[in-house]
Amino acid sequence: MSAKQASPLTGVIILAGFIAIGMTVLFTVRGKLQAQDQEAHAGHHPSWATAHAASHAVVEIVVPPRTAQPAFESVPRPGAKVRTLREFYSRRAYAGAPPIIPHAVEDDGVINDDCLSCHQDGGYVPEYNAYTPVTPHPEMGNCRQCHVEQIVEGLFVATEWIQPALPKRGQQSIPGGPLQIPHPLQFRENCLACHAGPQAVVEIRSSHPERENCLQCHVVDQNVPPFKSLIDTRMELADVEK
Amino acid sequence: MDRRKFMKNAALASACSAAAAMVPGVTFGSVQEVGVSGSGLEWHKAPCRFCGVGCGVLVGVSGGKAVAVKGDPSSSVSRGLGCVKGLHSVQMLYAKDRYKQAYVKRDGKMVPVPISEALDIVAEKMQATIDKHGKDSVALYGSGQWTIPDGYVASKFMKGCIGSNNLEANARLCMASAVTGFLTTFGADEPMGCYDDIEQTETFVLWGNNMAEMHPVLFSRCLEQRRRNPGRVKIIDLATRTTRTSRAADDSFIFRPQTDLAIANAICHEIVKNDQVNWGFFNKHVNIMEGKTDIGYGLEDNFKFKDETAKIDMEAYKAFLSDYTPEKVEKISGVSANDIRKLAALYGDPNRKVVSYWCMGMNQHSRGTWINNLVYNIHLLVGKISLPGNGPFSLTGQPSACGTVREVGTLTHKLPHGVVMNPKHRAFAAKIWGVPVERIPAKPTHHTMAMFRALDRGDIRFIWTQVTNPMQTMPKLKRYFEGSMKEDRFIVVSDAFPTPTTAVADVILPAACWIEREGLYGNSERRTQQFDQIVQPPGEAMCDTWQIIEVARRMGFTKEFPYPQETYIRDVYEEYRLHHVGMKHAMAPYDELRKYPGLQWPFVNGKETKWRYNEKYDPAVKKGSGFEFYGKKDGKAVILARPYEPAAEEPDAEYPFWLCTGRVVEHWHTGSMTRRIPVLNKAMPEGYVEINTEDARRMGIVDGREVRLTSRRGTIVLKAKVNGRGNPPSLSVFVPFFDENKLINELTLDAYCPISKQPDYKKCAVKVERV
Repeated sequence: MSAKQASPLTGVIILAGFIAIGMTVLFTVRGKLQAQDQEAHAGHHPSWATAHAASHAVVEIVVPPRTAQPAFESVPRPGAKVRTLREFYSRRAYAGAPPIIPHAVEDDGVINDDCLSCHQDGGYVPEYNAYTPVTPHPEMGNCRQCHVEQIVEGLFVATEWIQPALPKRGQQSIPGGPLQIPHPLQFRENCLACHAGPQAVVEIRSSHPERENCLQCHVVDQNVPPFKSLIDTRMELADVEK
Repeated sequence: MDRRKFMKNAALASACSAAAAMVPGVTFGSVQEVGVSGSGLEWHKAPCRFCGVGCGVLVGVSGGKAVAVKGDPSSSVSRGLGCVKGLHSVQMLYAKDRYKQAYVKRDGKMVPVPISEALDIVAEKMQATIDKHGKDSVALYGSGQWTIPDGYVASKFMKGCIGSNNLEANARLCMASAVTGFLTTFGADEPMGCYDDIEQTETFVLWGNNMAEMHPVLFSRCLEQRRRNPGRVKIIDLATRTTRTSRAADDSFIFRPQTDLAIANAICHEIVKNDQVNWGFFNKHVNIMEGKTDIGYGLEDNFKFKDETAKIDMEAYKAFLSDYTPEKVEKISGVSANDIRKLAALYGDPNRKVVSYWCMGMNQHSRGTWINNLVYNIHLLVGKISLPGNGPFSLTGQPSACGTVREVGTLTHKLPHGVVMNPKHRAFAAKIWGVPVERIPAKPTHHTMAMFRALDRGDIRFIWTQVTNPMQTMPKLKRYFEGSMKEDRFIVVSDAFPTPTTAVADVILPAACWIEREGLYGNSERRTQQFDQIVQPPGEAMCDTWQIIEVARRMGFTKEFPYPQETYIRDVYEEYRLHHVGMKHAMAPYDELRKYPGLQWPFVNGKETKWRYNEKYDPAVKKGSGFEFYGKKDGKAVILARPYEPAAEEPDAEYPFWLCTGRVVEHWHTGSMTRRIPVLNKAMPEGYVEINTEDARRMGIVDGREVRLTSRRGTIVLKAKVNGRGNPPSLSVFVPFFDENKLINELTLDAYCPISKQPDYKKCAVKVERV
């Protein structure tokens, strides 16, 4: 599973170079914003609180530094298998459910390193002639807490479960307006993981991944849960203790 | 197509072609509208149905069906996280074999009947049994998955109306040692700390707790704490086999089963020897005591034990500890003296915060109360307790083991407030219940193990179980299975699905499951979590609380159960709350609980109490005392000198392997719910046995090959797992208990802790053969 190559960029070198310069600028800006943010939270703010923040449309993307180029800089190889929405949903019990692991994995008790060696940065896998899907939450360390392999087909008993309707794509609040995000951002705050790069699902690929600050134009079309959060009280207590 | 839609589609199509132009070689899908958007779902809060962590989930409802789950970002427990079970939990509600109507056994066959008729039969049979054999011939056996109102009406019905203490719950098999541990050390049940400790601590010591699989959401919080504090935060795994948790830990120490008793004492030995005792704390807040030793294992019927404790001084305690030098304990436990010193140094370092976590490894233990005491001893010696980031913390395995069984007190000796043996407590309960105090018997009857033995003997003739599956979970299962099949036994089972327990039933009452009814759970950290009825139950399936109320009314107890059907959950809870008035245990009002994912008790003046016994956080603590362990009369916690004693059955020449049983991340308990969730069944379809890699090589057993395990009580054939997610040390095996077709409890031993009466599912002797 470790086989992985950077995809060839011949033919789009000029474009890629242009994007790379843009990226450097963007990463620098983002890094600064992050540093300020972390200072503000004095370091004891778990990162999944960002999921909470994101679901209320606050931008805070905390992703470990990438070891390779961002996947969206490369274009897919001709002939490589393309991920489709049908396949994407076939691996989820419902839209938003954690996807199953669709390939054989060792059940050797190691909870994350093996998964991230491919799924953190993605890349082309000759074995499958396809691009590895990139996780939108590489900071979550216990992958198999939510993602499991399917080793048999059969059910224990039949089910009358009905898969709910899938999120509606192409929603705009006014004609010509930016598309709305039809799913919560919880654990999916890194838009580019699914919407950009050769591994992205083809029907939902962004036409302009280089713009990066997705939530500047796209907002979540989603009910806000009507419950009060106690996390703020907890933070106060934590501060007292310091 | 209307104009608006046309404009939208046109805009999207142009976006697609623009994207296609940018990314050559890729065909974009046609624009189509697929169903309703995400916002078409209505989201409702609930606590997760499964383990005792108490994650907040949001259940998505569409067309009257629960169709999706997401972690509730506003839950302070899970903060938006979930695990694979919780995130697929709603699928279980739609298993094809759900009970949608009641069944009654007629001429050896289960025939469907209207539920009102089944409830008539239950009430009549219960009354007839009482008339013929006395009130202690009927029993009610519930669960740590009972909601708070289920347990409360069960207690009122059995103790306040029928007048029998034959009320138990499966938490006896899971949390009883934690309760007796708390009571003997602190005089009050349930943890002093809370999950907020995770983001404050520097050291996690996991005592026999495979947290990565059993409490994955909390483990993720521990991992995150370590990731944010590299080099400083350590996760230490103390275990009897190598698990996912061991591999994620900074250090893993594998010990011989049962010898955690010796290791805990060795840690105390080192702390005392190196003078790392926090004397300021110790002198003010701690007593030392010893109890009886050589206390037996409860293997025989009518086994009786009563502990007697007496104060000892520090010198006597030091003499006791002298048997537990690291070198001596290395010989007992197999953990090296150096590693024991390393562990002791982590606890002893005055500049390091430490939490200890445990669950079934310490509770399902024939010295379960003792090992709970011993870990408290460590924290009491160094004063690392009742402080943010410092403290011992007993995790639970069921969503309401604390909320229902421990707080409502659905155990033979308990009342919602206090114990049946205390006349004041009886009078207090009788007053709230509106029943004559004489009705509540002063003597406890049977704890769970004794209750099923009584059923086998015939002392109990009628038993009604709710939300639990004892015919899969009782240790030494065959005896209890055969007992329940005897002539003249009447078994009523309330459940949502067919299980090995419904297979022995005379009446099956279809149960509304989880969010099909309104209710409340209480999680490990004293958090009460309310949920509304979110979807309709199928057919005639009925809420467990209402089933008990219906039967009680049929037996003439209408005055005691006056609650109208529209508001009964709220009414029952508000009545229950009266039992816990006062700053030490006040529960949040129902209407407050509806607003939040959960609120912790003591809930005083609109505020949760995060750390009990600490003046700074707990309003019940006497001003100026700093700490007060108010469960004890003198406000002092107790260090209990408890020795190492061997397990009830240890490997020998004939049965050379240890057998340990437990869970896997994919399944929860007996699997009656999780196996009906397609994703989980496909990931983990059947029970298996983990065998040590070297043992497997020596015996010629390869991964996937069938092997036979045999104990003195039973035999079973399972597929071997070699080099899997868990690797037990040589001469020990591990088997999960979720598979009803591979009943590992036919092999386990019904030895129990004499103080807590909780059986030990983690230790017995087996032999292993190739098939």
